Amino acid sequence: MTRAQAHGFPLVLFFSCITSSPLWGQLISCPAASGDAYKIFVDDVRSVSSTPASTSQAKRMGGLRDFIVENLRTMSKGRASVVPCVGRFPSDASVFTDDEFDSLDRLRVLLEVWGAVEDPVREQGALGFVLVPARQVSPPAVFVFRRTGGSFLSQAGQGAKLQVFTPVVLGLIDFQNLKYEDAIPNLCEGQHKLTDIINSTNPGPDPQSLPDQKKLLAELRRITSDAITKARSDPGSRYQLLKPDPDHTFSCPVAGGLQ
Amino acid sequence: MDTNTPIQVTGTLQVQDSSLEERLKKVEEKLSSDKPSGARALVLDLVKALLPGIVLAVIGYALNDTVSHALQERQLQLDAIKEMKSLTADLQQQNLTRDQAQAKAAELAAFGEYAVPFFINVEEIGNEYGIAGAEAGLRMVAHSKPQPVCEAVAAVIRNRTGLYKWQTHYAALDVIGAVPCSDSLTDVGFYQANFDRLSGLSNWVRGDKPEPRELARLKDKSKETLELLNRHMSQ
Repeated sequence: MTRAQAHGFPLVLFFSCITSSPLWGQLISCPAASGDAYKIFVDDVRSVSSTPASTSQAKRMGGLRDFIVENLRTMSKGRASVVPCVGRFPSDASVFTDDEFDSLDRLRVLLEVWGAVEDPVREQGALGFVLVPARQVSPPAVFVFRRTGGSFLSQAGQGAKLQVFTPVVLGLIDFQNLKYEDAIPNLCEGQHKLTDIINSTNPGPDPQSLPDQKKLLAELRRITSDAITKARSDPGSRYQLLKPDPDHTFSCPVAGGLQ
Repeated sequence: MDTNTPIQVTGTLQVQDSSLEERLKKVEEKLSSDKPSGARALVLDLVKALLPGIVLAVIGYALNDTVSHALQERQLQLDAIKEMKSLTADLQQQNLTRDQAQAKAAELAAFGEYAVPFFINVEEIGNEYGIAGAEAGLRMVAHSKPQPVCEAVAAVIRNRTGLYKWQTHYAALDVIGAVPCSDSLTDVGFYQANFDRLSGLSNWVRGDKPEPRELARLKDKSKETLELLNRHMSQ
């Protein structure tokens, strides 16, 4: 078996599961979503393999989901309500159409996360992230991190990815709501963490989503510079001390600007 | 001797106008000639006697028809509500997919104008796909009965007492443009013209006030709706 075939096999298995498994249906509405606060949806972590998950594997999937909920609660710092959407599970990233983004946006959903276990035995799977406020600036704003090397259900292994997108969406929503001073720390934190993910070597970046990640990073840099420029229009802004780069844009402060 | 001897004349003077008598005679003759004779007189008398009754009967019939029609209409509405009951619950249920919501909305839309208030309510309180289904339902009803849909959605954007959420205002503007509801041109124009008064608009809506980005979205939608209506009117 060639290396390409070895990489392609889980993908074929993944898509054959999408079409064959009854679990991979349409998205259902999130039962617990109500109220006017900003929200983060945490969908199911499910097996999409034709091989049924054992009891212990199912337990670990539930554990990963709980970990995601708790992690995002910490990351959102009370700015958004983390809502476990029991039974909600996207068949694939393509279900997040313009209509779907529009519905999520009207419900004030900032981020949606799900986990698909493609091979429960070898612990291969993918975490999916839908960044609702990023749709306008960096479409499609859906990122799927596939973990082919195993240990997908290892909670510690997923921590870094979970921490990237919460500051990104919080920063973007503040920027879009013209709260430039508030947006900058989150935008910068998101930028740094996304850079770390792109440059990580263990495990290496997911080649499929890497171009989208780089595109988002470029947009974040542009928006951060814009946010700093606009924040500086206030004479009392703490960003008055920042000096522009040679190309007249602003970069994230190295120290003092991050919270 | 006085030559002027008075003469005493006794008797009565009767002045008779012969023309007056003749005229009276002619009138009497005329009257006697105009008087219907026999059966004709009988019919006329009968009509005179029956006319008030006939008029009353016609008015009564017309009133009865109107009242009966109103009662039938009300009964139909109640029957429709009973039949819609299970469908309305389906559109609000949890674990609803987008396609299921669209299918339920299509079934409800078959009830026409009776489903309109319900769709507006789901826009307010429904879940993600219920809301999308309700908007699709309003569009479906508008295909055959645009008037009740237009009246209902225009009432949403005219409301200034915070009865509806900003999202319902958004959906109403969307439907007004899509139908299109030409009668709402003035309402949409007013909506668009008053948009820059953020504090004013924030008081028009229920729940949390729209954030600047949501306000911008609503503003874009009202602009788009106004353009659609103007384009339609100019055709």
